[in-house]
Formats: sequence, structure tokens, C-alpha cells
Amino acid sequence: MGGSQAAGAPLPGAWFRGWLLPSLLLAPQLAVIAVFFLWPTLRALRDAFYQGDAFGLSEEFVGLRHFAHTLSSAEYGHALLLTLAYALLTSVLALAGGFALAVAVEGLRSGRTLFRTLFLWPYALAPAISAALWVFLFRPQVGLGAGLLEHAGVHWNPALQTGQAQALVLATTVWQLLAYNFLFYGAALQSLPPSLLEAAALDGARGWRRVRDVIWPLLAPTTLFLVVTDLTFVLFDTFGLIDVLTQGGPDHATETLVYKLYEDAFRNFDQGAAAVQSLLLMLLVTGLGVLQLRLQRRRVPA
Amino acid sequence: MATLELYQVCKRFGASSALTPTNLQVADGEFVVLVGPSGCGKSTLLRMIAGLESPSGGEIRIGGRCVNAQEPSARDIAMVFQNYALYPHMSVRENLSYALRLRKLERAEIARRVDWAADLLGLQPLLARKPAELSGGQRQRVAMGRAIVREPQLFLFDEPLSNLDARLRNHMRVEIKQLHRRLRTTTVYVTHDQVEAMTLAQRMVVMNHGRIEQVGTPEEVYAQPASTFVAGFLGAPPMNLLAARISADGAQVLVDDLAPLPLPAPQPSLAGRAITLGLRPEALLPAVDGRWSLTLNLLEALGGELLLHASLGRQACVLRVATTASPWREGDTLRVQVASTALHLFDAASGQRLPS
Repeated sequence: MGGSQAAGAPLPGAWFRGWLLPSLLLAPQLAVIAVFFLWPTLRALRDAFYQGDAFGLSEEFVGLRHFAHTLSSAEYGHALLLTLAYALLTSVLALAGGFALAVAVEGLRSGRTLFRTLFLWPYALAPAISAALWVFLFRPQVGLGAGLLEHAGVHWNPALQTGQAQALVLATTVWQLLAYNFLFYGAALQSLPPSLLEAAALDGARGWRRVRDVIWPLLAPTTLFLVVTDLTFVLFDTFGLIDVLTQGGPDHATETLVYKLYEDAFRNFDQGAAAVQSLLLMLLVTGLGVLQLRLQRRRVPA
Repeated sequence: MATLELYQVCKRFGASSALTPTNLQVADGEFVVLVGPSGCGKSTLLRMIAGLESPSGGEIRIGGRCVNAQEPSARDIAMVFQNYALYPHMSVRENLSYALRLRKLERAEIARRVDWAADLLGLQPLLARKPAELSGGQRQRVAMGRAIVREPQLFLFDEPLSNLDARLRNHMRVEIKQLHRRLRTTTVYVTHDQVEAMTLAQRMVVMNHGRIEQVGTPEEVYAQPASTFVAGFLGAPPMNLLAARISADGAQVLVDDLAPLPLPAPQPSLAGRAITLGLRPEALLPAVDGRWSLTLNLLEALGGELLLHASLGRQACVLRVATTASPWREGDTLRVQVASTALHLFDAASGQRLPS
């Protein structure tokens, strides 16, 4: 009787009298959200419908013209396709790699802590710094990685070869994400009930069958979470990485949505187009978040 | 079906010993229960038989064949876990058939065995469900089904009823017993519950501190406990253990300054020794002309029977009386009779049983 009542009602001590104290407690967080999220979003929303003159002195309302222009431009279509391919490929590779590494490390008899520490290091680096590292490693003629590729007969010059530039960006992103995915898969593996794996051992599930039939399905909630965080990372947080590695080049070969948006805003000074693009990018990521919540509610048993 | 033999099997974790070298023979088709408090080594022993842990020494034979080097799946055994360990992403049917599919049995044979197990355990209406949609008792039944479809040589149960409520536990206990009657598969069952052990076992193995205290049928172990540990572990309430002494002539037991109790036969070898006297709660019989007098501290009415907590001299004891209404009240003095055949004598220091 007491239990059912306590479950629904808030604790008596959790009530505040009046509005002053709760407002003050909420204020810092609300201020941060307002300044760094709401204000820029509103600005973008407004800028998407206005066109300023070259000197920034006057503006006129242009309706959906920026949207029409952006969505019909071949460059935007190219960036969108490139970004989707980039996001999907990196996420799949980083998920598969992180999972494989986590399973392999969990199966070790000794040295687990060592490998866990080593595989986590890339996660501790900011994207721009890890990109600087890769630039250094893959600078033609000088870099260690570039030297190995030359040795293997590859004519390495990512500043000119579009495919090579894309591969470099892809590899750096995967390298960075791998650590994150490894961390989450490792934690999820450790929290699996040991008796389930023992039951699988008694049933005769070994090696690949054990991974495919038992471990992978049990880690599905983790995979779902990582798919969304990986995609979000690739869509938003790879700006610094691309800026350091390739600046979107050569010939727009690595110009993803977030990089193109920056180019249009700060190189081409096309505020309207940039505003439209940032809104579209936000829609994409919000959609991903909603999808994740939906799937999670359906898949994870109560 | 097969025999199970353990020769000098032991287990050490670092410097500490979880199981001292242990021998045990289980006959073909026998139901053996390993029972003891937590940490007594019973689960370690079971897990070594299953191959989930490797023994530090000794040999394990199933059907006469040494299995020490074999993987769990090669030992032709099936195990039921305390938390069921069902695959949450598979339906009941898939859970039951997984081991068979791994062994690449023919589809028709797999279907036949799954249907047979489902009929036996009443799982037919649940086959399409996932474990999360089942109650505790249903999950336990699926776990048992997963074990029997494999038609193994040996069943291992690791505290299978501990997660169920009391009513369901009684029910499942009966089901397990009936299942064994029908299948006659050699079974090793681990529990800390002495009622489960007494009711299920054909032979029980009482363990404590990593070694076997006593092996025998439930009747033997109850009637002739080999040590004060076994005496105090079995029976609810357990046997009364009283500090006592054998008289100088070896013919009587002396408890504090109460009237001496004659032994069934004089034991000159024990004369004058300090002992522990064991008396089952039902061995102390209220009688008007009883030899001992005791003071009632507390009454517990259990419906069909009555538990009397009393002081006997300076020591505490419990009586069990088969009666519905109590003629006594707390604080009363009561006279009791003790049959000389009901005495259990143990060495006061080692706790080992002495001849009486």
C-alpha cells in the first residue's frame, strides 16, 4: 500500500516554495543553452530566409529562395552523397573493428589491461590533434606511413589524388572512432552474465558461432547506441579533422556537409546558404536521435 | 546415461584451497545432491564436472572415460543454472534447439526432440515466446527443457530453484523428481537448501569448508550424522547440541547438573570424556514423570506442530511436539523424557561422531 503510493508521488522534500530558488538553480544551464544553442539556431533560422547585401548594410526577405538554391545545387548534392558514404563507411568499419578488438582482448589470458589502455589512447586525443598526427605520418616523401606506401608501390600524394585524400580522411576518422567503440563494446562484454557464456560453451558454441549467435545479438543495444553516436560524430565533429588533413580538397573530394557549410559561411560569405545547410544538418542528426529512441524502446525488453 | 567418478579431485585458487582432494562415485541413473553452506566447495565441484573450471589435481571420469582434458561441450552433459541463463534474443523453441542445431542434427530429429521435451514440461504453448515474456517458473522449465533435449549422459543442476518463491520451489522440486523418475539420467544437484537435499537425493553429499563431511542416503545422514556440522545442518529446527560429559564408569551422560542419562550400552573407552550430546527436537518428549525439567521461554505454533524453545539447565534447546493447541504457557516448567536410543554423541573437540 505504502509502496504504490511512494512510487507515483514525489518526495515531500523535493518541493520548492515559490519560483525564485528553482529559477536561480536552473539559470546557469539555461544560459548556456540559450547562448550556445538557442541563439545560434534562431539566427540560422532567420538568416535562412534573408539575403544581405555585399557590405552587410541592408537585408531583404527572400522566402525559400536559399532552400531552393541549396537543394538544387549540384555541389550540395555531391557533398550530401559524399557525407552519407563517408558516415556509413566509417561507422561500419569502426563498429566492426571496435567489436572485433573488444572480443579479442576479452578472450586474452593475460595483458588485457595493457591492450585496453593502448586502444583507448586515440580517444583521448582531440580530432584536430589526431589529424595533425596523421598529416605528419602521411606527408609525401617525409612521413613514415607515406614511406611504407611508396615502398609498396603506391604513388602517394593525397594533395592531388582525390581517392587518396578520401582514404586518408576515412582512415583517420575510423582510427579515432575505433577507440570509442572499443571502450563501449568492452564494457558491454564485461557486463554480460557469465552464466550465459557458460551455457553457450556447454551447448557447444565455439569461436565464430559463439560470437555470431550469442555475443553479437546480446550486444545489440550497445551497437544501436554506437551507430547513432558514430554517425553524429562523423556528421558534426569531423570538421577539425578535415580542416587539418585536406581542407575539403582536392577538388571538393573531401568536402563533407559540415565542411562545405563552413566554407560557404566563412570563405564565400554566403550567410543564407550556410544557414540553410546548418538547419538541414541539424534535421538529419535530430532524425537520427529520434530513430535511436524509437528503436531502443522497441528492442530493449523491460 | 553413465557413471561419474571423482578421484582425488581438488581445486586451489592461488594459495587458498576451495576443495580438498575429494573422491566420489555416482552410479548410473543415480540422483546425488551436493549440499552445504555457501563457500563449502559444492559449486566449484559441480563446475569442474561440467568443465567450466579445471581441477588443480585429480581425475574426473564420466562413463569410465577421463574427461579432464575435454571441453564442456564434448563431455555429453547438460547443466541448469541458477539464473536460468536462457538466451534472451532467442524464442523458447530456439533456446531448446540451439545445442542440437550446433551439432548439425537433422531437422526432423531436432523437431521431434523439441516437441518431446515441450510435451514433457508443458512448454508447447510457450514455444514462440521470448524468455522475457515468461514467469520465473516457466523460465526454469525452459532451462530444464534445454538440458533434456540433448539427451545427455549426465545432468548437472546448480541451485536451480533458488530464484523462485517458496510455493513455486516446492512445485518445481516435485517436477524435478518426477522428471528423474521418467528419464533415469544420472544427476548431480547442488543446493544449500536441506529440504531440497533430503527430498530429492537418493544419496546426499554434505560438504563444509571444501571437503565432504558425509555421504549417504538422506535417512542415514539424518539418523546417523557423522559430525556436529552435519547434525546442525540438517533438520528444521536442527538437532540440539549440548555440552556434556560421560560419567566415570562410562555408562551415563551428564548434562550440567541434570539427572544423568543412561547410555544404551556402557562405553568404557569414553569414560570421563567431554562430549557434545546431540538430541533431535522430537527426541525430547514431554512426560509427567520425565527425568529432566526445563523452563519454556517461547512457543511457536506451526499449525500441526508446536516448537518449544526452552532452557535446559544453563543451555538452550528446542522441542518439537505434534499437537495443535498448547497446554503450556511461556514461563512454565515442563518435565521431559529422553529415550536412550535417541542420543547422538560427538567428540567435544573435533565434532566427530562417537559410538554410543
